[in-house]
Amino acid sequence: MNSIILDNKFKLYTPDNSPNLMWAIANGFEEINDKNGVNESNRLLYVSDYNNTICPAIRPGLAIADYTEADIRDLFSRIVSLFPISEATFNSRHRHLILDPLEWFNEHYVNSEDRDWGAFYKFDDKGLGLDVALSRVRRTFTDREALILKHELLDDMSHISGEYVGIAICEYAAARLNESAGLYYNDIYPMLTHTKEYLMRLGVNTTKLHKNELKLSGKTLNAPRIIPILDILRDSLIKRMNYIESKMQFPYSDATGHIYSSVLELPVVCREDDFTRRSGADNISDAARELFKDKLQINENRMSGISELMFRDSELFAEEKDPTCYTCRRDCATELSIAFEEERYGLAYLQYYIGHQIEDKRFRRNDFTDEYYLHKMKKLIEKSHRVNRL
Amino acid sequence: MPNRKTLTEIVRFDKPGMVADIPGAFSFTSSDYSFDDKTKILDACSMTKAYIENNREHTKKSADMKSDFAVAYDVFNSICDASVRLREKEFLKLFKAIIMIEFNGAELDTCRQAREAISRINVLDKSQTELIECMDILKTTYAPDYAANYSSLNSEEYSSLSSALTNVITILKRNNKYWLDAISLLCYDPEYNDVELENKYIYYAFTSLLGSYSDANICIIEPTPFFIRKMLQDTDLITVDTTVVLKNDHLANLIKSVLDSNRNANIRVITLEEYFKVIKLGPAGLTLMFGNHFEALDEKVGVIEAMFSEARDNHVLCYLDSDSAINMSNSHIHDLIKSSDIQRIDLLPSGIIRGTYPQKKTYLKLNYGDIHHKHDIEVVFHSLIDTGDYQAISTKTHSVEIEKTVYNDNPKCIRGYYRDSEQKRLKKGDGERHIAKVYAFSPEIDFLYTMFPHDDNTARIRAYVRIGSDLKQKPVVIPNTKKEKRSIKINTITNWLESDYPFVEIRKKDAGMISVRSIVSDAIRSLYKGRPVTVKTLIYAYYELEEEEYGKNRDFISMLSNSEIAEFKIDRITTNHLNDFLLSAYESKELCTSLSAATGIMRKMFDLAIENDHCRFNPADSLLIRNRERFEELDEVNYAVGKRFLSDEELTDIATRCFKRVKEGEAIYLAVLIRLFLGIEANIIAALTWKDLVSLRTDSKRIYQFRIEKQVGKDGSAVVPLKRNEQVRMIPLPGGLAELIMKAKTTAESKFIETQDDRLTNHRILTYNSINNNLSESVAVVTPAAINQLCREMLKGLDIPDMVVPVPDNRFGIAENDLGAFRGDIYKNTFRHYMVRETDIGLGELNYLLGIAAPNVDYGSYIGCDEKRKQIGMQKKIESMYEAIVSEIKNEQYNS
Repeated sequence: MNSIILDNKFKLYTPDNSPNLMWAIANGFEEINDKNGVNESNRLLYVSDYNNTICPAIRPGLAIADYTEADIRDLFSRIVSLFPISEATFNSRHRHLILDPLEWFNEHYVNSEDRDWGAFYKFDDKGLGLDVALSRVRRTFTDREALILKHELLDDMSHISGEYVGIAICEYAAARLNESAGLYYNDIYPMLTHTKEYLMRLGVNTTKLHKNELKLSGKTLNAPRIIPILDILRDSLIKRMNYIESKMQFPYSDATGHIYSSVLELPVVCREDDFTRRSGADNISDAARELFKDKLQINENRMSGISELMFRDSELFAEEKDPTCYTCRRDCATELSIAFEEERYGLAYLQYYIGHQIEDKRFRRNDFTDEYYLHKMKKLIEKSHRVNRL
Repeated sequence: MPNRKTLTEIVRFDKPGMVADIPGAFSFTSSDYSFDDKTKILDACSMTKAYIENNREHTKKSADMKSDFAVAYDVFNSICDASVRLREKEFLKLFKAIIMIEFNGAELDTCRQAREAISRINVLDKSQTELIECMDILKTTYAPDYAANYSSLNSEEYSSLSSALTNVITILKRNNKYWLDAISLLCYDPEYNDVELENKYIYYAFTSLLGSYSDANICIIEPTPFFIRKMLQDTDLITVDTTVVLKNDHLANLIKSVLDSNRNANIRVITLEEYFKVIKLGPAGLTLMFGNHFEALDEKVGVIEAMFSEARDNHVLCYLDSDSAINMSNSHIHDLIKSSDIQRIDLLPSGIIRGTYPQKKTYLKLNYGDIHHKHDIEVVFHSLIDTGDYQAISTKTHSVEIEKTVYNDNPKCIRGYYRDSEQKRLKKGDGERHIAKVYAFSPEIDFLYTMFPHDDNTARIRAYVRIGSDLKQKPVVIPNTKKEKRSIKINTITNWLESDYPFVEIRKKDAGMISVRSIVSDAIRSLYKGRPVTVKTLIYAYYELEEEEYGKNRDFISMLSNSEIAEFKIDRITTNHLNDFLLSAYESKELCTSLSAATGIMRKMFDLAIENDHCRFNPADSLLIRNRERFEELDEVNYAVGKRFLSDEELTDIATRCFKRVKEGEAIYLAVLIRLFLGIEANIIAALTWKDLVSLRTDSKRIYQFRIEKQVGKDGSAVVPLKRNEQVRMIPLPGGLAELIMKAKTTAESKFIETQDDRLTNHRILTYNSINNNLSESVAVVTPAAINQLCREMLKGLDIPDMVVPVPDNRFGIAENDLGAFRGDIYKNTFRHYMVRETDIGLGELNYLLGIAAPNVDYGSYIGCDEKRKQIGMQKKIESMYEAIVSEIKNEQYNS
């Protein structure tokens, strides 16, 4: 049964019989407009907007409860590409026409408040204008936040949940979420020449999108890389390995019958306390969001600003996809760029370390299997990284 | 159409006639309104009626309501017939109203109609939430009365109710909240009245047991509801692989639908005959049996047999209820145990659990005499009533001591009392559950008998024992009959077993059909049944089976038997142990066998162990397979990240060897040095003549250069110009290398006789006869293939993976406009790598030196006569790179 607002051709339910976005539009329309005090003529305008521009772009098969930020961004871009709407009208009218029913739905039917914490559409420019306001968003951590992060992640790594280990690897080794989720303990090993310094083999395995299954290699051939890790990270990872060894008896067989003969075969980033179960990228970013919100007490507006910035920078959006990972990696990259600032091939080091394409044609990615470079890199990072000073 | 609220108000206060006469209301609505409106009105009517009747206590059981209900039911039925798709809440309300009316006014006879109403639910194809609510209503209103009057139902009613409930349950697949109640309604067994007892004990038994298992085969012959309910409620059987065996079809469907609602459970509903096939394939680790029908006894016996014969992991959990324990004779079960390889049995004596036969105590009597031949069988009794005494059987226990008394004048059967660690005898009420670990050790001599069938043909078995490397054959004649067997002194054999290197060689004279392999594996299996199996025992077994391979790889095996691992139990060996051992063996450099051969041997050895059930997985295999698979899969990744240049040590190694050879007079090794320090390809090196060696300066600080403008074809004779004019270039030499080449020139000059036509400058630098210039040029030509081969030979001892070495790599077939084109050429790559690492060379210069036509490189700007300063600058960089490497060599020589 359709309402008065939408045409009959739009379906309000998904094939699974759960409501989609159009259901929320149809049911929440009057309440929202009553609340905002919209007059009759404007209501008619909105109805025509819904019927002509917005609803044709909505995917009827996607339940409203499953909407993520990426879906909303998709929807925005689809509307803009399908219909001739100026940016100003889109921002002033269409944006709200989509986001208001969503908020309405979240208010009435979803209990959790964290669902859209730090979502890009919540960004408030405070009358400065969007561009100016965005330019003032701080993208890296302050010293206070870095200190709390160090306390939360590194002080007692053996007892924290597995997702936090993933955040630590993103924060202190500039890994992407999928890369850190794909790590085995096998991928952390000492150098041949300097045996006290440890390397991490990133990007050989990564997880699939929104899952915790493994696939081979990262996004490009640029992604696989062997990087030196900070002493402080090494120590806590080794502590965690020892802790796991004391907890589990090897050979250990899990519920599915898979047999692990040592710690080295276990995933580094596990689900909470279940050491054998790998966590996906989504789990890590959820945990990170919680951490940012509760422990670091980052202003929500700042997080929204960061995700809005990512959305604008289309290259970044294609690569990172998540503001939490983005902030961690960006923080690490800032530290690295300071460390390599005065080095001769500093840019190449930096690009290698964070897994971007190396622009210096004299270098290739496999040059960095030479531990001469890795050791040099390690020394520079260790000297200048903020964690060692906090 | 007004709101629902207003509608109900209208119906209640303005049109009471409609509430009183529901069929009238229906006919009234059918004339004018649409379906939606009709349902709304009906909903309102029925709701108000229900509301009114509910609040009016004195009318609750009045006789009038019967007819009212019948009318309401008719309405409902007609709606169902028309298959009107009611909206969720309306439907629910209507349904609720009907049920309420029924239970307020009607007696049990009219329940039949309600049941039929429920059976119509399937027609309507409703969503789950509604149906759950339906079931909830049913549960709260319907069940207590129903359960009380269950026995009064006849078979027709029973079947109609069951079909109704199955309909509901099939729809409620994903929700496992209410089906249990449905089943408890359906399958309540009127035969037993002691419901509470049953509940309690089964609850304790199965929650405690199932908590410790991850895999299970559940074999349900006849489902007793409380079993299923409590078991599945209180243990999360999410990963259970269940097999349901049922006699009745409708019950099978029911249980299937129920178990389907468990999210991850794999359920197969099969007949009993199929079960025997499945149990061989499935992941049986635990088999549960319950059921209490006399008819099914024969089948039950069959299942038990199959269970024992096919039990995986040598472990059986057996619940034998009283009937089967009585009827199936103990001796039969003993035979079953005897013929299987089970190491642990969990027994649930049913008489205790059921509680109905407290006096009979039909425990399964496992006599020592019957199971003593099993070496390491562990029988765990689960008891819920602390009776204080058991018919337990043992000679030894580890944790709990058992006081032996003779039971029933039968010396074989021993009654035991439990004592705890403080030697206190446990009394009644000490605890609800005792677990006794009962071990039965057999005399070691028995293994010889279990190996061979007791036929008359196998008259005598002769055993030899080999101790250590010395062959000490001790023939033992073991006669066939039991009495004589006992007469052999057990001590002799135990002494052999306790020696360090035990191996029993068995020869069977008369029956020669058994293969050597099976004999040996049987021997080892039986020999080490009761004691830890170490790697050493594996080694000896391996020696017997694969004598040839043993002979080849003697050094590795002796190293293995002398290592630390040899003393380890096989179960506890991990891939890490093997990895460490292999690495240490490889580093010690005493090992002649290759790593792959060594790992192959280890894999075979552990395969042997798995065959004989000594360990569950092959540590060597997991180590290797992972590497092997990864090596293929990771080709692409390695391509990006793999090392493609010579490391410091490898570089100095090759350079020292080449310098030595050149100083000894083999000038051809100059080719390797030129490739190494200048990155020039083999085609060009082969074409270099003495004329191309030019000096940049004429004063005492001479700087030599190679002029590169031509190359050699594949056969080495034809000299052709370079492909592109831009590639013509001058490459400065480092001083040390230039000295070596000039030395070679002086030796060549000393032996060469110049004529007017034939001058040394026209000859190539690299020829086979650089030393003895007696041959003509055509014979002495050095082909590029030969240079490549020489370069490869230099790499041979360095353990560089094959995939790195091929020269050059044409994987992409693209023009060489980038440094990436030479990924495969390890020499050229090494030159590039060390130039970047040791000097601050620019991209333009590097491209120039490597001969790459990049768009930002103007070759003319480096060659011209005015560009000497650039040439000298480049020479300095190459010199510094050269010296960084050569200084290491000098240091090494100085140190040594």
